[in-house]
Amino acid sequence: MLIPGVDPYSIFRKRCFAPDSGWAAGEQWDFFLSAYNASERVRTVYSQARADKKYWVIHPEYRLIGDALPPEPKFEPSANGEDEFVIDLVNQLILNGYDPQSSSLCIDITGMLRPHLLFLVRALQKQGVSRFDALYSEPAYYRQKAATAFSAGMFSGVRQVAGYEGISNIDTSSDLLIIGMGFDAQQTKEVAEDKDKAHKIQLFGLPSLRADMYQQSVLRSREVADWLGDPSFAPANRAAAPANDPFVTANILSELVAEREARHPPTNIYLSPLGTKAQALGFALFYIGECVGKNRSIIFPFSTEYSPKTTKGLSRIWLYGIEFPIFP
Amino acid sequence: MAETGAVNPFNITKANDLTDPEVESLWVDVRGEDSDAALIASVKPASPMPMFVLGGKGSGKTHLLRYCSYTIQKIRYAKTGLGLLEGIQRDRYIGLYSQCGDLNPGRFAGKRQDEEVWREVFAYCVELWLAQQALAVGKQLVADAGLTPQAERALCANIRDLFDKMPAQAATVADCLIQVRQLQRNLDYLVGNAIFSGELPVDVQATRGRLMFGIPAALAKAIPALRGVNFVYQLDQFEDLTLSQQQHINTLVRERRAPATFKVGGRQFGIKTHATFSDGEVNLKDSEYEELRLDERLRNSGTLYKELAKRLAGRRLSQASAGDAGEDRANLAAWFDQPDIRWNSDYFREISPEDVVQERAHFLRLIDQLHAAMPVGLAPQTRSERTLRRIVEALSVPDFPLLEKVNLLLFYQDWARRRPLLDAATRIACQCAAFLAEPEAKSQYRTKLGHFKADLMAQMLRENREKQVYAGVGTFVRMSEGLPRAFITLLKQTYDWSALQREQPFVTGRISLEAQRRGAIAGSDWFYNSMTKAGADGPKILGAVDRLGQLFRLHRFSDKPIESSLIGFSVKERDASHEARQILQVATSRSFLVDIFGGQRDRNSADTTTKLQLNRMLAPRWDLPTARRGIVPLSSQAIDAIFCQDQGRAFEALKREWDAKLNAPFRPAGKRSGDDEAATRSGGQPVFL
Amino acid sequence: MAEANDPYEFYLGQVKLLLESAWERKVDIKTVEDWLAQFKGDPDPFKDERLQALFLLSQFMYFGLFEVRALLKSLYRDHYEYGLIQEIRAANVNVVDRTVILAKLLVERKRTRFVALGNPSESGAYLLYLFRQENSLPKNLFIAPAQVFRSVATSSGTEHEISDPGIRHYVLIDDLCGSGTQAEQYSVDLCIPLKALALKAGHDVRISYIALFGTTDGMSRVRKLGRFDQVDCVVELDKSFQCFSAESRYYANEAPPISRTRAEAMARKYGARLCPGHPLGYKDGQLLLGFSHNTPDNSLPIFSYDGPGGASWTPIFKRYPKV
Repeated sequence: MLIPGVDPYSIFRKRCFAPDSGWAAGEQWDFFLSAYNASERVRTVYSQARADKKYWVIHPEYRLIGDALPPEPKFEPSANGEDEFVIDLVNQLILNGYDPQSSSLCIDITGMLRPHLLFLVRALQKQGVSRFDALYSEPAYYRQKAATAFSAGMFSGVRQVAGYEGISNIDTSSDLLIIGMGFDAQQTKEVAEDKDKAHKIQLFGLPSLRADMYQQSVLRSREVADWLGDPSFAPANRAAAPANDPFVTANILSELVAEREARHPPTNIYLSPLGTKAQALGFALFYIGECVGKNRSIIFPFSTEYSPKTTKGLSRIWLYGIEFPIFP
Repeated sequence: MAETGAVNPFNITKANDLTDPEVESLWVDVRGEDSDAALIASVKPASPMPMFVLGGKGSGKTHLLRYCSYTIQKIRYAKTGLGLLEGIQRDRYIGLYSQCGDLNPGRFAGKRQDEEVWREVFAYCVELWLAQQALAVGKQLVADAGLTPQAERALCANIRDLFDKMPAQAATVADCLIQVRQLQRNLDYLVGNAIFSGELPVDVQATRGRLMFGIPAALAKAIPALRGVNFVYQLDQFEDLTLSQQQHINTLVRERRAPATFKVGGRQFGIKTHATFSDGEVNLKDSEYEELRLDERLRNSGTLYKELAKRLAGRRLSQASAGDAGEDRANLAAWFDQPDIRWNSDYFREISPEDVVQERAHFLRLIDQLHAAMPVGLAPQTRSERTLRRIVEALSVPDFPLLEKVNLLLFYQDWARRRPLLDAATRIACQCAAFLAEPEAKSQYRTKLGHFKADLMAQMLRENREKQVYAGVGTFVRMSEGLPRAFITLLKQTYDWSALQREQPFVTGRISLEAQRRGAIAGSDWFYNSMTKAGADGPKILGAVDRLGQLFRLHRFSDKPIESSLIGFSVKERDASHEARQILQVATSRSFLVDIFGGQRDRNSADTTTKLQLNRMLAPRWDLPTARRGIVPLSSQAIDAIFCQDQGRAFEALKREWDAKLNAPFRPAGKRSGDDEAATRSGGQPVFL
Repeated sequence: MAEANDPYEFYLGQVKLLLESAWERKVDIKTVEDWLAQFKGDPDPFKDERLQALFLLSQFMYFGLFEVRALLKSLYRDHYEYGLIQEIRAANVNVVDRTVILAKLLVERKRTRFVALGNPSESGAYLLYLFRQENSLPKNLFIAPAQVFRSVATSSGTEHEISDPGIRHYVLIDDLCGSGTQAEQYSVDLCIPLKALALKAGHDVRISYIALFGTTDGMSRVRKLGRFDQVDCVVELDKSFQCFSAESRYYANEAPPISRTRAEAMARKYGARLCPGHPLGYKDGQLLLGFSHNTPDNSLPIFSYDGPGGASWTPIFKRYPKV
C-alpha cells in the first residue's frame, strides 16, 4: 500500500489554470456543484464551467436570503448538521439524474463549509463513486482582517465530523491532535482547548497561497500559543504542506502519523482542518485512505453562523482528480 | 542568533501540558487552618461523598484532580518507598481520572436517531468507559496483591456476573479489560456507522451502574487491602456534556454505591443541571453532593492564595535553576523593579519634571479649565487672571508634584460644590502646609493622599504621556484573582519580554517596569481572549465588560473621581432588567466579573444588593488599578445602558453624564451654561444616573 | 487589543511574537529599539518615523531555516517530482501501481542533474546542500555550472562538449528571481550552448529554472526569453509585494497614522544614505523579504545594510553582500 519513495497520494492528478486561459473548454462534466458564498471567484468559475447540469449549493449558515441568493438552479438542503445536509444534497442530486457509478461530477469546494465538504467526500465514497473532480479557486487578494475576539461564527462546540468518528480509546495518555492551521485563532483555540491533554502538531500551509500568508498564520497561532501548549514554537511541533495541495497534505499527514506510530503509538489521533478548503480535502483523503476503523477522528469547532470571507478577484483555478478506492 | 539558552521557567502554564512526573513534582500546597495541605484537604480525596469541583480557567482544578489520581498516586508512593497497596490503604482512595471530552460526547446526537436511543447509548458508553477505568487499575492492583490464579479467576467470575449478557469466562482481569474494550469498540463502530446504515442496533449488555459500581466492589472483596478504600471516578470537563448527558451523570452520582463515588470537575458556567433521571429528582448541594468553588475559595482566602502563588513561582524557579526553593521564594519580589512611590520620592518629579509649576501638565489643564469657565460664570469667585494665578500658586508644591495632585483633587471637589475657588485654594494650601510640617500625623489630608495615591499617580503618568505602571509580584498576585494559571501566565509573559529586552531575568538583571507592563498587558489579553464555547453570550459579555471598563477609566482619569481605585459596583437585583441580570450572571460565571464578598447571592430575594467587580486580570486593558477600594452604586438605567446589548445611545449618554459630573467645570447634566441655580442643586452627594 | 489605543505598542507586540517564533530570535527587542532609534521620533504619531519603520518591520517576511527547508522540499516534490509522476502515469495507461511508478521515477531521476547557480561559495551552493539533505537525494545528482561542459582537445584546438550526454534534464535552482537579470545571464552561459550541443549530438535536453521566490515581473521576463523549458517558482511575489507600489498589500487597509507616502519618503531618505542609487532596494525592488542565510538586495536597505565602508547603521536582518 504505502511504498517508501513514492508518496502515496501523489499519483492523483491536479492541474492549475489561469482564469482567462480558456480552461473550461477542455473540461466538461455531467454535473457541476458549487457552494455559493457571494465571492467573485466562485461566481466567475460557475459561469465559466461547462456541465450539463449546474447547481448552486446554499449553506443556511451563510444566512443568505432573498436577493442575496443566486438566481440559477440551486439545492437548499435542510440545516440540521453536516450529515443531514449532505445526505439531502446527494439525494437531490440523484433525483436529478446523477448516477454515482457513471456520471461525471465536479464540485467547487471553494465556498463550501469544511464539515460539509468532509462529509460529502465520505458520502460519495460510500455511495460507490469511483471518481470526481474537486475545484478550488485562489483569490487575487485576501482582505486582511484585524484580529477580532469573535468571528461571525458563534461557537457552539467542538465535536467529531460525521463519517469521521473512529474508535475512542479510553487511555488518553498520549493523544495526538494535528491541526491544519488557518487564520482564525479563535477556531484554533477552541479545538486545542477541547483536546487539552493531547500533544498538538501545527500543520501550516507552507508554501502558502500568497507569500505573506504563512507568517500571518504563524502570528495568529502565537496568540493562542498557550492553548497549543507550544511556548517556544518548537520545530518538533510543526509541519508544512502546500496550502493549495490536498494530495501533498494527505502525504504529509500520512508521514507524520506513521512516524509517531513507529516511535510511540498515540492513544488517540485527532485531526482538525482549519486551513484552506484544499487542505481540508487532503485531510478527508488521508482519513479515508488510512484511518477508517481506527482510533482516529476528525474534529471541528462548529458555529451556528459563518461570514463568507472577504476576498477579491480570482488568480488561479485548481482541479483535483479524486479517485476511489484510494489504495486499490 | 541574538540570545538563546535561557528557557522561560514559566513556559508550561497548564496542567495538561505537564507529564505525570511533572504533575507530581510541580505540585504546591499551602498550610490552611486545619491542615498542612489546604488544597488537598479542600477536595477531600478520600471522602465517599460526591463532590463538584468548580473553577474558572486556570484555577488549578485539573492539576488538583490529577494530583489525586491513580497515576500520580503511584509516583508519590514510589517516591516515598511505599508499595502500591500500602499507599492506597494509607490514602484510602484511588482516583480514576478522565475527561468527559475523551468520550467524544458530541457524537451521541442526530444521525436520525431518537433522543431515547441516544440516552441509552450514552449510558452504555459511560458504563463501558468507567468499567475500563476500574479494570485497568484493577489489573495492577491484582498484580500488586499477588492474587493466585484461582482467586483471580473467581474475581473475574464475579465481574462476569455483573453483565446482563455475560461474555465468556475470563481468566484474568486483563482479559476482562480486553472484553469490555471490545464491547466499547463495537459500540463506537455502530455509532459512527449509524449515519450510513440508518440504524443503531446497540446490544446493551450491562445495566446502568452494574459495572462501574460492581467492579470496585468485586475488587475490594478479592483484595483485603482495599477494604475501606474509595474508588473515586474523577470526571473533568463536565461542561463538554449536553444537558441530557449531564443529567445521566447526575443520576449516577445519586445512585452511586460504595465503594465507588464521584468527583466532577468543571467550569462554573458549565453546570447545566443538577436534575437526574431518577423519578425527576434533583440532586441538592450538601445532600447528594458537596461543592468546592476553587477559585472563589482561593480568591477570598486572603493570605492563602498569596502564599500559594509565591510558592508556585518559587517551585518553578527552583526547578529551572536546580536551586533551593525556599531561597528563591524569599527573593522573588526582589527581581522585580518597582518605582519608589512614597509621596516624597523623586519618582514623581521624574514624571512631572517641569521646574516652572504652571507648565506642569496638571496645571496646564487647570488653567485651561479656568479660562474656559470664567467667561461663562462657572468658576465661582474667579473673574480675573490675577485670581487664577493666586489659585495656582496656592495649590503649588514645587518639590512634590504628587501633593499638587492631591491639592487639585480637593480643589476640584470644592469646585463641584460651587465653593468660592480662591478661598478653597487657600484653605487647601493650609492643609497641605500642615501635612508637610507633620507628615506622619493623622489628618484628612493624609487619608486622602493614602486613598487616592494610586489613581493620582496614574493620572500623572497619563498626563505626561507616560505608560501606566503594573509592577511587582504583589500586583500580579492580586491581578490573578485566585487563578494560579493566570499568575503563571503573567510571569511567563513578563519573563518573555524581559528576556527579549536583554535584561537577563532571574540571572543577573532585574525585570524592568517596561517588561512587567508589557507582560501584564499580554496576560490581560490572554484572559480577555480566553472565553470559549460561549455562543451568543460571548459578544454580549465582552461588550458589557468593555463598556464598564470605559466607564471606570473615565472615572479614574477625571478631575474628581468619587471613589478611589474604582473597579467595582453594586446593583439592586430588583433594579436590573431581565436581560441585564442575565448578562451579569453569565459574565460572573465566566469570571469576567467577580463577586466581591464571595458566598452565594440569594437569588430569590429581590432585595439583594449584588456587589461585583471587574476581574483584575482585565485592569490593564483600561488602565485601571489592581487594588480595589471603593465601589459605586449603579442605578437601573446605568445597569441597562452598560449591560444590555442594544443600548448604545443610552451608554453614550451615560458617559456624558459621568464626564460632566466628574470633570471641571462640573456642569450639571442637561443644563445649559449659565444656569447657575440649577447647578447648585447638584451639591453634596452626586447621583449617578 | 491595544491597537486602537497605541499602535506603537501593538506593532511592537506583533514583532515580539514574530521574534519568538518565525524569526528564530534572530535579534531581540533591544536591537529592534536600537534600529528604531536611528529614525526620527516624534510624539505626534503622524510625524513619527519610528512608527512607520516599526510597521514595515512587522510586515517583513522572514523565512527561517525551517521555512526554507520546507520550501526546498516543496521545490523538489511539487515542481520536479510531481510532474514526472504525472508524465509516467500518462505514458503508461494511467498506471496506479506505485512500485511501477517508483521504478520509472528513479530511472528518470538518474538522468537529472541539479545545478546550483552562482559561485560555489555563494548562497546557491548552500541552498542546494539543504535541498539535497531535505530530499534525501544522492550526491551524484548535483553539479556545479562549470561541470556541465568540458573541454576536449581537437585538431582545431579545444572545443566544448557536454560532460555527460546521458543527462536529459538540468534543473537550475535559485533563491530569488527578482528582476530576472541574473537568470538571463545564466541562460546565456548555460542554456544556449547546452541546447546547441545537444542538438548537434542528436538528443533532447530539458532545462528547468526553479526559484524559491520569484517576482511576477522577473519570472515573466525569464519565460519570455524562451530559453528554459520550465520556469517556475515556489513562492510568487506579485506587484503587491512591492511595499510602496500603488497596489501594495501592506497599505491596502491603511489605518492612519500608518501611511504609505510617509513611509516611502522615510525609506528613501535613509536608503539614499545607505545605498545610493538603490535607496529602495536593487532595481527599486521594494521587497520586505529575508531568509535565514541572507537578505536579498531587492529588499529595503534600511533593514539589512550593514556597512562596510560608508554609513554606519544597525541592521535588523543583516545582508552579506556579494562583494
